[in-house]
Amino acid sequence: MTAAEKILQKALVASHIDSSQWNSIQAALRDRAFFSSQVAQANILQGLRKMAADRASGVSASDARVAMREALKRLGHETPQELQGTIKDLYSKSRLDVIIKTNVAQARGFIDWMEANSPGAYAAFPAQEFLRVKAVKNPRGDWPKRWQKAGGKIFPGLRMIALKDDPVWVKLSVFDNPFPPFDWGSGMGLEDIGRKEAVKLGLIDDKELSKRVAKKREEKPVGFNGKLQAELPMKDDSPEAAKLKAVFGDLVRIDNGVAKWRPEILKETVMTGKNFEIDIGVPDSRLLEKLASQPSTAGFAEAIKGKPLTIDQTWRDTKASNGGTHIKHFKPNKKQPSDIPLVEEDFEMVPSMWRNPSRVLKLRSDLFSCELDAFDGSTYVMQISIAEGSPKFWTFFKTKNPTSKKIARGNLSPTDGGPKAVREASHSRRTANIIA
Amino acid sequence: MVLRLEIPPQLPDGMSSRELAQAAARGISNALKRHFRAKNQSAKHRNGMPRSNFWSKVADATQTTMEGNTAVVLVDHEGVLLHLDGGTIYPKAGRKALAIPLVAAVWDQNPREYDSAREKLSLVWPKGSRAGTLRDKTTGEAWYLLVAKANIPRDPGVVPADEELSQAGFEAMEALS
Repeated sequence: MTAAEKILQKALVASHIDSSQWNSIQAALRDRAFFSSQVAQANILQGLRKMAADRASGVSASDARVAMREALKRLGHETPQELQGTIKDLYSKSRLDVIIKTNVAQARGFIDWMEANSPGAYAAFPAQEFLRVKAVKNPRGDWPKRWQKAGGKIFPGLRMIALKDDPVWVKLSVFDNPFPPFDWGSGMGLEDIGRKEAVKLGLIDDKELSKRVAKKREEKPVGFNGKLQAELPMKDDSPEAAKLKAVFGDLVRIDNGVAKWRPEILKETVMTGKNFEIDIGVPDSRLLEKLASQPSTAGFAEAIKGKPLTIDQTWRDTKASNGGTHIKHFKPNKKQPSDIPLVEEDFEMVPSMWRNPSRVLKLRSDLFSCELDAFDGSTYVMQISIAEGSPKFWTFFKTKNPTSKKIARGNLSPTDGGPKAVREASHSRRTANIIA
Repeated sequence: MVLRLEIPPQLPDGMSSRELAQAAARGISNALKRHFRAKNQSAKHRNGMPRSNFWSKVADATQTTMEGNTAVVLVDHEGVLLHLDGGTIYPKAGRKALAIPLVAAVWDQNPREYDSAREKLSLVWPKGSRAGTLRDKTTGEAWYLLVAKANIPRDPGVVPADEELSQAGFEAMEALS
């Protein structure tokens, strides 16, 4: 796994909470999630995640920041004047650099930690030393004190050394991770200590080392299937579960003793090709307000209020009006060149579209569309049918030429306040007929 | 930059070749990281400019991975091969020159980051000259040096000698015996 892959695998967690509240969530969940303080829009988070992954892949920090600022402008993001230039300003260099540096450093730290704890690497290097590996502007001088407070032992020469699986590493870290970085902007890192030296220092003997190596052979490596599951064992009635629900609402679901991020569930299930049914939850008040604010869509607000949206495999297998099934949205389409083939990560946007889309449009008396602008200038489109009484996921695709743009250009007539007979829309499957 | 390491078949003492490969790769990776960090310490940097910590970042980007029973040591950092083999850096498509920061205030920012670059900076490129500058319109101070390309000389000291890396790998494997 590369650092970029590690970053891209993280589940987007869009939320109004700040960093201090986020740090109170279990490290195991935080490690699998991409979050940025008070960024509540998933499409912005998606862009920030891509920016960090691009940087990890070698794109210069400057180019990554330029691309992200362009995406923020496209998405219409504005910073209140009093916050401009501060760390709370998503356009600022300081904010973007914190996001880039933290995510890239943590991804690299995680990957190194995985390899350092493989049976062979651990057998040869069972311990590691905590030391300064790079100069920083304002080095903290209190690391030895913090080390001891975390339960670490200081060896001659003021050396801070411990076995790799010693709990000191998690206690030392402000992020509760057993790998670097251990604090914001820290220049402290790790160097392996070989078996001979670890035995000489009294940290371990050969018998105990053999036992621990044998245990590591039994352990499944994290992400052994190539994917990181954004889930954690948790009882539904536990205080931890209550805290997660209070903070994230329906973004987290606790099923069968496991807490999972909803966007992750959807992303992974849709691509399996198997039958599935996922409850996305009831519509958010922001979606209802948007629907209610337009005469053409007001009826939909009443129709879906309080009713959960369920997604199952039928949308994928349903025949499309212009041939094939909706599975074709995953491939390039010569008939619809402005459509962009869907990838797994695109499904992370579905819950956000059910919570707070960029726009809503009436397509038919029993069908409406939620559009969400993506950071790359394209648009996600989710169509919801109410033909059966409850909201039903009709289709989902990504396009450079959504219905709203066609209306804006005059290619299609808006259905708001007086529909006109226009040509059949050649683009969308179920949006084909807008008739007076 | 990828170094690939293959370990001999299983030894009689029951240790799998996979674990030997993990140990050897870790030993080589550690040697590379120490080397890059030392290189970072001794790297010169221009007066008044922040340290780029280029080689420290290269150390951070050094990792190991397994492909079956083959250990791979990977230095996942753009630019390392350029220093190892030497080469030339050209501007990216659509750009006319490389912009090299000359003042600390812009040391890790290219001119595109400035919305007001056109208002704030003026281009000075004497006719026939190989280089130009972007200067502060008010003070005349040169913020960026503009060049058509930059040559990076080959640096044989980018990585330790093969013998040193092999030794690091063997010593790590010995720890398993």
